Amino acid sequence: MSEVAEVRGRVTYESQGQPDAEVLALDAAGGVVASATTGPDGSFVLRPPEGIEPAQLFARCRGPIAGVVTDSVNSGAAGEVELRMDAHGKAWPLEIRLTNEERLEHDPFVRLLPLAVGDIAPETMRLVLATVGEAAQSALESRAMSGGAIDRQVQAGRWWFRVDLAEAWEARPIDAGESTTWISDGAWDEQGTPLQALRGGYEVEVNGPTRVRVHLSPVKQASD
Amino acid sequence: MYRRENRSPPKRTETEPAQKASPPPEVAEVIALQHSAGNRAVARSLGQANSLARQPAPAPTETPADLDVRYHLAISHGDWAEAANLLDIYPPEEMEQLAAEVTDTDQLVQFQFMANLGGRYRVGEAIAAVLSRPPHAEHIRIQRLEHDWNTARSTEDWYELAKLTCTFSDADIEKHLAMLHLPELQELVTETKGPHAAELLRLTEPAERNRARKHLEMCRFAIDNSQWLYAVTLLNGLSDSDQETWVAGLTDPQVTAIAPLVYTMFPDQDRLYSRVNFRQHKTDLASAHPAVAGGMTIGSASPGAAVAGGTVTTSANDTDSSGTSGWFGQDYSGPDATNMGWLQFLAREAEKFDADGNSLGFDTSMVTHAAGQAEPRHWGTASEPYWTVDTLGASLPFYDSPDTGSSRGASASSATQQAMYDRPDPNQSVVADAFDTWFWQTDVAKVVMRYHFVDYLVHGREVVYKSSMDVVWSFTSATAATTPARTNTPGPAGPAAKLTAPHYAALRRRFPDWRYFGHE
Repeated sequence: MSEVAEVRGRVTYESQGQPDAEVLALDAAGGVVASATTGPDGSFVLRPPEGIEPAQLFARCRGPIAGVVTDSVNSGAAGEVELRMDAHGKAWPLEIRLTNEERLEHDPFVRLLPLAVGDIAPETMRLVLATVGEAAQSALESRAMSGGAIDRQVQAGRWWFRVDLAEAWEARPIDAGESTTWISDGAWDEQGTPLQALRGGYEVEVNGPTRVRVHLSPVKQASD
Repeated sequence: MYRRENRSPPKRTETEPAQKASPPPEVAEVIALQHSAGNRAVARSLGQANSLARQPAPAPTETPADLDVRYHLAISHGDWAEAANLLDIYPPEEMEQLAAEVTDTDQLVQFQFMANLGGRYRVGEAIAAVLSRPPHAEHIRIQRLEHDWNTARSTEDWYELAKLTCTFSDADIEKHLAMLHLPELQELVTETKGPHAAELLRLTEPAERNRARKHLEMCRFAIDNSQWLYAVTLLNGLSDSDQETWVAGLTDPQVTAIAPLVYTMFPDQDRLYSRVNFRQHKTDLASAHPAVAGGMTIGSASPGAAVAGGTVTTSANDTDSSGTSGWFGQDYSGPDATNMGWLQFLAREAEKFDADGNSLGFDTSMVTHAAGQAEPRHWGTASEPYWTVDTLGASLPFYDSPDTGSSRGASASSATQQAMYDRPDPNQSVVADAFDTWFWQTDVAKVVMRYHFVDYLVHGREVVYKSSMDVVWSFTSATAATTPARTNTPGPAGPAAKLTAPHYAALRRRFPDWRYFGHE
């Protein structure tokens, strides 16, 4: 086995460890050279390949606080890096609620993606969708609504969200009709102002407690 | 018992001392001492006062006929001390003959004991000679054997017990094994399988047979008397065939009482765990596959594979009665089809490609539903598939199990056929998401959506066959007017006995009560 230089650290928000954060180690050119997921206390250990010196760390945070955090590898004292989410922005509650009056068969899923957070450069923000292994994600996270709403703590900044309920026949009855997918056809802020549509979803600015409303419409799924 | 035989009177000369009519007072003292202080004390006393060993001569007036009468009277009264004294008067050549008139071995032994105790050693030797001949010799051997056998049993010397048991006759082996408790029989069986197996070969079959019989008796007792923990332990020790029969024969309340113990005590790969869980679903399974006609026109089908007395075929392009093609099918035709069932597992992936055909990775962001199925499911990658059970079943896991209404996966079920058919749709929302890139990302030119199906044929609680099918669509646009044609490609198929670990995990996630299927 070759010797590897480990990078140890913690992802925190106001000193609280953040579990389920995916930490990426980047080389000087911005390429992902290693990744690890934080444990219950927010700690992580990165093991880059032999001879590779990570220069930057970037964490995709899907724990209690949704967001991102980045720092240089050498910022930590005593060989341990602390990636402080609060260094980039305070966290605020974001509530996304359906306005549909009809009952949907299942809970829709909400995808969240931070587009701009604090002082993080746009080029760095793109790492939130960096491909790791075979998985090429299109959002930071995907979570099911509960009771027609979702409540998340997210970092202050500009966020993209998309709500939908996508289904198709997998096991199929002999007399199956068309399956139905629900997609959003409008979203509004607390004052009723329509949100800007973007890439099938909407943009929302989070600078304090934020509530948005979204409406879903059924779309028949075509079959071949 | 004592037996009088005709014989000549004892021969004596006139010079021989006459015999007296009753034991001398010293003998009476010895007998009294024996009664009060025990034989050893008497023996010690005799050792110190050897004069007691010799009795005075009989009275001169006694005739041989009188002696005979007195001797036989003593014998008939069981007065062995007196009998020994009298027998000692007879010439040596008659002693054995007279002693042999006592046919009961136990009485002879007692006779001998009292003779020796009274110092009538010649009499004792004569009796010993009788005892050394049939039938007494065999009787004594058996008594000694019984004693040793009981000692070995009480001291739990299992090898010795097994060895001694082997020396009995066949009938006595059975008699003695019948006396043993179940744990003792288990010890003997263990001995017959151990390093002394060859020596104990004679015991191997009867020991195991008696152990099995006793095991069943105790099992019946434990179940009938609600001794559930003991019942579970005993059920666990039954042979496969017995366990199958006994668990199947449990009543509903009995299996309800036993199941929690079994699930706590054994892992879910265990045979008893599997059987008890299967028994718990007896009612569900009775109506699991109602008769239904498939109505499919079968397209290209694989050569039939022999499975469980029937044949399994996989078809890749079947057409339903409305003329819609593109169905794939898994068909078992043969006996006992009503006890067959198909379990289908599905892993889905959506791979993105650029214009040059380079992979851009798999879209794993979305969580979607299958129509008619409550469980949300993730999208996986080639190396990390996300498996789900694929059925409309609300409470049963088979492909043709009904939802909360009466809708069920397309199937054909009869006494001689158990077939399932599927024609999944691609998920257009995932296709759209895969094509919809951010401005800094490489444009996606093609999305290949693959559904990997694995179908297990189960017979009762046994997994017997595994087949697979890949359904693939290749999209070049998120907004194409028509969905591209599917390609159904049969994959590996063959006999199987277990669900793979990922498939079993998917089953447990959605149907946590269905745990009887063999699995890794």
